Amino acid sequence: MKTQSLVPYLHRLILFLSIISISLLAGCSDDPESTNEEEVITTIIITLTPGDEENDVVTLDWDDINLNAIIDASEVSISGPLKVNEAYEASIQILNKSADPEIDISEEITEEAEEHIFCFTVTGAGISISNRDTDKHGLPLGLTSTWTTGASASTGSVNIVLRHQPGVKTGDCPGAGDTDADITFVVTVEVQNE
Amino acid sequence: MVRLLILLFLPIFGSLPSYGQSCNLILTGVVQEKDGSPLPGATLLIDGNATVTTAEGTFEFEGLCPGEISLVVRYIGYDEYHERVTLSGDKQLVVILIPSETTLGDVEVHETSTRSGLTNASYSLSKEELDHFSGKSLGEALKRVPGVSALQTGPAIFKPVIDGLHSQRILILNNGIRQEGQQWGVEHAPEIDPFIASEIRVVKGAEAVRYGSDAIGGVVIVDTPPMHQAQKFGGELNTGYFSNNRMGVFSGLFEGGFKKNESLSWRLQSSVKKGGDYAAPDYVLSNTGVEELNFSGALGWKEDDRGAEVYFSSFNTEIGILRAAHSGSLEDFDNSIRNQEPWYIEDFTYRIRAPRQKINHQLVKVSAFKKIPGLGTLHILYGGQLNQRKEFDIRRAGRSGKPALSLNLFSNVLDAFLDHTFGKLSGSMGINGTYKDNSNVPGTGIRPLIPNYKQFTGGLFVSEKYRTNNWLFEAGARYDYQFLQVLTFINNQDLSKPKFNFNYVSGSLGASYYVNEFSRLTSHLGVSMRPPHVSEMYSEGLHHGTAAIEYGLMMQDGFQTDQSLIRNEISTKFTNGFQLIKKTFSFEVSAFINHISNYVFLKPTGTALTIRGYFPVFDYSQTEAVLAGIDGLLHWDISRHFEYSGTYAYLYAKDVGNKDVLTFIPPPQMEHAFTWHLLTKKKHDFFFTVSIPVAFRQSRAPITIYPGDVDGYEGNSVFDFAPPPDGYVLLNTEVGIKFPLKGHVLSVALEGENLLNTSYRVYMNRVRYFADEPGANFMLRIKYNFHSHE
Repeated sequence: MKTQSLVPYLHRLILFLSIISISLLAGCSDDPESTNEEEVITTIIITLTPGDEENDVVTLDWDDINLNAIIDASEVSISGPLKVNEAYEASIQILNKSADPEIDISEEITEEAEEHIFCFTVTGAGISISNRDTDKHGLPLGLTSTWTTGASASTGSVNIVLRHQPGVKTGDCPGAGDTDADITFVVTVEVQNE
Repeated sequence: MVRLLILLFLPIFGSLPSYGQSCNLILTGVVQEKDGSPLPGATLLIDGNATVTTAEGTFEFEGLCPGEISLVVRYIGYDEYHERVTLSGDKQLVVILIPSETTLGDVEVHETSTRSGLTNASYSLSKEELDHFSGKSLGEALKRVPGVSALQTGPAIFKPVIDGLHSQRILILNNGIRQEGQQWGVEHAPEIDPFIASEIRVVKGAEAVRYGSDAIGGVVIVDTPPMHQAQKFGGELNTGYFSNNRMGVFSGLFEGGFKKNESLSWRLQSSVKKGGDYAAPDYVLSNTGVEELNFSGALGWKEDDRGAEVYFSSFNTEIGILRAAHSGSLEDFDNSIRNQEPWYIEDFTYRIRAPRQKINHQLVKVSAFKKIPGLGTLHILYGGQLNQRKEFDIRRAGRSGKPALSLNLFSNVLDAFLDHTFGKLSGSMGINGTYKDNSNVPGTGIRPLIPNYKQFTGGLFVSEKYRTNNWLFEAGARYDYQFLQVLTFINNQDLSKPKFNFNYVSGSLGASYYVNEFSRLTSHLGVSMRPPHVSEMYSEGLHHGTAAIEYGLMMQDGFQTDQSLIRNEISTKFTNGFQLIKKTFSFEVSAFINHISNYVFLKPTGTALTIRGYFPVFDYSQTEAVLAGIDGLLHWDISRHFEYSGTYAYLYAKDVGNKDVLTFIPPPQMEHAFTWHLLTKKKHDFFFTVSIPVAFRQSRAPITIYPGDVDGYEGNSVFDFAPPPDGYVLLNTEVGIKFPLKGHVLSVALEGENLLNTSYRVYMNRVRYFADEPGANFMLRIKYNFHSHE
């Protein structure tokens, strides 16, 4: 019968398939390339510009130098104290320096303003944060805001949380959604000319 | 262990004779070899009812109806025996089985059916039982097997857990080929369509050495039906509708032969499934939809002493993960747990959004066998698989459409083995080789969870059985060699290519003693080894699926870990069982103790403050663990129309090295099912079943550290983010009817799951932190079988 000669062919087919696959695999042994991480936040810079030009601009900064996503104490820097009775214009810049080229995440947040919100919590320090910028629905965003210091000296912390709320943003903090960034800076408010 | 048994009703069609109004005929007989020696433990099937021959090879079927019946006799190492018997009064038969082997597919089926032919727990789900799970996933159907439970991620992702072990510790054999998927992940379910299966069985004993020693938990074997030789066209259509998630399922199977060449046969099969969001009693479980499209085909050629088969299958699915289960930070996680209700609830939708998984698994298999006179049957098979897994997460700047994880696993398996029978000795010996290439598809923009790797594994095994009148002995041994090359990046910058060589062995010994014609004692001792998986060695960083920072065994000391510190897991498992099968009463109990040295687990080592807040840090570690468990199964025909079935399972697990508990160990469970048969005839059946699954609270759960408290936790004991949920009692019912239609059989079943709409949570479901289990679910299933070769 004709079909009886099929078996040796099948064995050959198996051999053939294995040779093909093994050579295929040997051929594609190219080394992988390291991942260009797009999503990661490596740097947060908050620039506080005072209304009174005599006062210094203050920056609060975290830069993930070792790119381990962990906030090491040495990676946090604060340029100096805030002054009492001052209204600072705060602007937040968020970067991903691990990507090549560097990604400006604040730009992505501006584009998706209606999905994001910055939540600020001040503990112990005499600072009130208001006047957050808004998205197209009039809900707060917070890439820029006004930080008003009180009349007396104080020390405390400011916690800044970036919430990602696609489809569920109501303007409430923290509201639904996920946390994309959560960082706390220790700040001091000083009496002027001290 | 078992544990979550959704056992809707026990083999109404199985294990015990059924009764009919005027059906009172008795068929008795003996199954023997050509020389007249009896064959104990052979399986006999009459129209779906099964029995097993006694130690003297005798059998008895009661309550048969007058007319023609079809008798099938199966015994491992022997040709399947078919006979049509016309009954007008009681009858006696002598069945003579001819030693031999047929195609690999057939051998699998033989083994499956002869539960009594094995010394150790090998439990199978028959086609009839699988019908009760049509439309559900493989892992969900497997929970029906004593000793098997599932690790869930929401209502649609089920991973089988055998005797407390899962993921890379168990092995799944799909139509004779080792399933090579991304099984290391706790949220990765097996990529198999249960509709292709004619039988699914779980092997925990000596037979397991045949498939790979790394399966220290056990082997799940998914068998496809043997290619049927009839020239007539036939098949089966299934459809189902599920009310809870408004899911529709349809599957069709067609097969036939070729007029020109009677040795050739073909089969085509496909199934499609689409479901939307599930609903708990109080809210919609948003983003838990599922879509699936699978198809397979086979072409077989078989003559008396040789045969070959080509088979392909394609599995494609997309599954939503509960939206509220995604937490960017531990604070979000903590709020979700304390809220007791998901923070994201929307109206029902079929739409699946991020987070979601998209999986495609393609398999091609080519197999051939040839009988070699005086030696046995030689089988050769090749399997090629491509597994593609994409996971989509909630991301910024439109990246949610871009996979956060994209893995391609390409694998090739080549197996050759010889099945043989010499008198009372039968067995198998063989070699196999596997080459795997796992690669991360570039462009995810996220550092991969596991690195690229290439792996070659080669193994040799021998497994033999020796039978006497009252005893069955089994022994098996296996040796494997694994070469592994990992391509990883140190700090995501410098490529490093460490190489590993692993040698490992496994062995098993078993015995089965037939105490009398009804009962049997079995005992089995097995030792197996498993080298750690790449994921256990090279995980690095924040794993969103588990809300934890994980470091693999090789990452403990920067990247300088000494390879010699990586040790094989070694499992030593001792299992004993007792089985009693009487006409109206059957009982099975099995107990095991498993000692595992170098058991790989995640040990909490502290916390880290990341840009998303605090996360716990876990190091993969190795310890000494002990698992022990007991499973029972009882079936009792209380009267002609009433039957009771019960399953019970208990598992104990301990980390001996750290004097701690283990995570993800199922709590004690049991299930009671009562069935009332209003009418049972050859092709008619009408029944009503009430089943009551019961689960207890896991009293040996790890300590609870809420996510918000992780920052202050300094211990090294394993912990859970929430306390174990309370136990629960559910109520399920089913009404089924089976009747002939134009010479074929139509079955219709209406089933209600969680009929009382109870709100409950399952310890083994990873989404239990966020949401309740689904509420009431009404299912309508219709099956039309138009096979004409019976």
